[in-house]
Amino acid sequence: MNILRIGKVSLRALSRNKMRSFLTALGIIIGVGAVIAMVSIGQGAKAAVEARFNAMGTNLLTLRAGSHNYQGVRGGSGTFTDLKPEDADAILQQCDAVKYVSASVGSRAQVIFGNKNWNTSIQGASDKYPIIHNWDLTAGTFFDEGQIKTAAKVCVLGSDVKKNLFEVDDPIGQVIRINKMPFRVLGVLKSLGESGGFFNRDDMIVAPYTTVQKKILGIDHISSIDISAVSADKTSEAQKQVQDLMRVRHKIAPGADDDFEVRNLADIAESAAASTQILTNLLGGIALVSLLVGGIGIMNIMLVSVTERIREIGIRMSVGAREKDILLQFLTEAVTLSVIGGILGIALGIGASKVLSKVGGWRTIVSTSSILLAFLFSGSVGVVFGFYPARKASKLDPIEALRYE
Amino acid sequence: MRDNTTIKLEHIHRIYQVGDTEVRALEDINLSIPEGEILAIMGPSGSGKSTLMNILGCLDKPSNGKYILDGQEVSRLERNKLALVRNKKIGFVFQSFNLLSRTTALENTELPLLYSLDVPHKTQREMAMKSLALVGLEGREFHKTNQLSGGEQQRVAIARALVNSPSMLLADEPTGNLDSKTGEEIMKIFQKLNKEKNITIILVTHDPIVGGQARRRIHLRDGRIIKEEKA
Repeated sequence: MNILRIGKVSLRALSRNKMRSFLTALGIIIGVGAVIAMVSIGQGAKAAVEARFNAMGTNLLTLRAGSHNYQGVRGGSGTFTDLKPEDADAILQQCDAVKYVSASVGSRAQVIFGNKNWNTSIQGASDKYPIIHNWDLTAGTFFDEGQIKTAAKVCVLGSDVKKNLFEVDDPIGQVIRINKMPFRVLGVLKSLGESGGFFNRDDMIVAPYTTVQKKILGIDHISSIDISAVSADKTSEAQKQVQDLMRVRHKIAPGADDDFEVRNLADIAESAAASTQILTNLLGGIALVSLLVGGIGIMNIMLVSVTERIREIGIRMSVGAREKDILLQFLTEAVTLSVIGGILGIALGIGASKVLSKVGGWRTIVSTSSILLAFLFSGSVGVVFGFYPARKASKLDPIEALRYE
Repeated sequence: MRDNTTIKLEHIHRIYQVGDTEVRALEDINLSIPEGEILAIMGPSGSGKSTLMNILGCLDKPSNGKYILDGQEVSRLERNKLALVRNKKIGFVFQSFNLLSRTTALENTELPLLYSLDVPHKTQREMAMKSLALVGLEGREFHKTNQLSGGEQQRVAIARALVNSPSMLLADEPTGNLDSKTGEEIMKIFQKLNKEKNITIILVTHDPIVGGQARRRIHLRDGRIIKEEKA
């Protein structure tokens, strides 16, 4: 008895109860569709997170002033005031795994142009800021080293600030007021879009850190240093060099806590990617449960089908069907149901993820591996849940089966 | 050594265990059926003729004794081996036809071949067509069985029983669900097959008219052969 003929017999049996077959397969269709759609959402989110971190530069390290700890009372991050611009210069000169540094200090201020005003954050930075952050300008230029030395009152606008103060007008060369002081606009940064929820990097103004220190805040320390390693695979080495150097410069005794912390963006990116992977697994896992329910549906219908067809089984046995022939026939029916359900489910899943990305604006990625997985899983659901009813059918006593009304 | 004996039963017993009591359905049956015989097994209900038919048809195994079919002892074979014996050597014809409904006459006739050794489907088709022609159903091959009359259905069942060229046909009240005229037609087909193909035919019946067509009759009562007559 060859498998093709069995397939034909099974298909015919299924087509006799079209509605029932469809409803049974529907459990699998929805299950597989849900797995594919859910995993596509998770993978889309993961890719989006990764893309955002890549845009920020994967060889980026951030050195922040640490928490002040005085007799057990700990301040927050950045409460140390001993991080100085000279630290940044020393890092650049003495750590050979470091390519660029940018001293960083931040504030918030009310900015005014003409009759418009806007409250935004003021980022003090050095001239290497755009290179380190992999961030281009759409118009004008960035400030240079000379303007940092002289603490010139110049600035570069984030795209949101430009929109709010100038709308469509050209801001280059215009003078805006930050805390009532006049600042000349040198350039406009490219829009990054929403960069991950918590803060909008387009809503800020970048100015020389010296200007922010002296003219706006009146301080001589800085809050952090942005560091760019020579390459992405040198970030750990750069991190180590910076840590060692800073301990020496800040005269920290062996065994004592650092008064600073170095963060590696690649690590953060990795943990963010890991957390979206957990999300993917979770969504996929929930969807798998529905596939399981679909499998139970198949088992249920196959049991009904076996009971309905006891007489048929008896007839087949009387003309010479062996146990394995009957087993194979019913197993093929269950697998056919689940495989057809699987194929339709893949179509549904792909369609659903397309709709979600169109309507919901979510980024979705349907991967071949998730299709393959869902398909294989649905096939094995057919085998696993079809086996019990098929075995039950194959073990029937031919005499009783023939007599069954 | 192969003689022309199709069936040999030696001291066949069949005992069912129902709870604590033993039901002796068959006791010490000895029977020899030569090739080309038409035998009727007769007796009232409860006499054990169904049990005997099940054993002869390899649907059931005797509790004791020997059953030799075509020179092969089949009384101790396991389930799947018995299925093979049924497929190759036995053709069943049932009182209630036992055809697959909503399936064509041709496909019903092909059914035993589905479980035989690999023959191309085309050959199976041809064998089934020939078998249907033998019972006078040319032109009805593609009718669904539920569109056929009772007599035609029984003829499809006979065609199915014949398709694998079995050693014997085992007919259980083959005319029981048919009117007497159609019943006669079916009996004529059996006679014809026996005469032309020398097929051994065993009729299980309580109908004396059907039994009268057999060359040899055995009567069962309470699981024993009580009488044997020859025409």
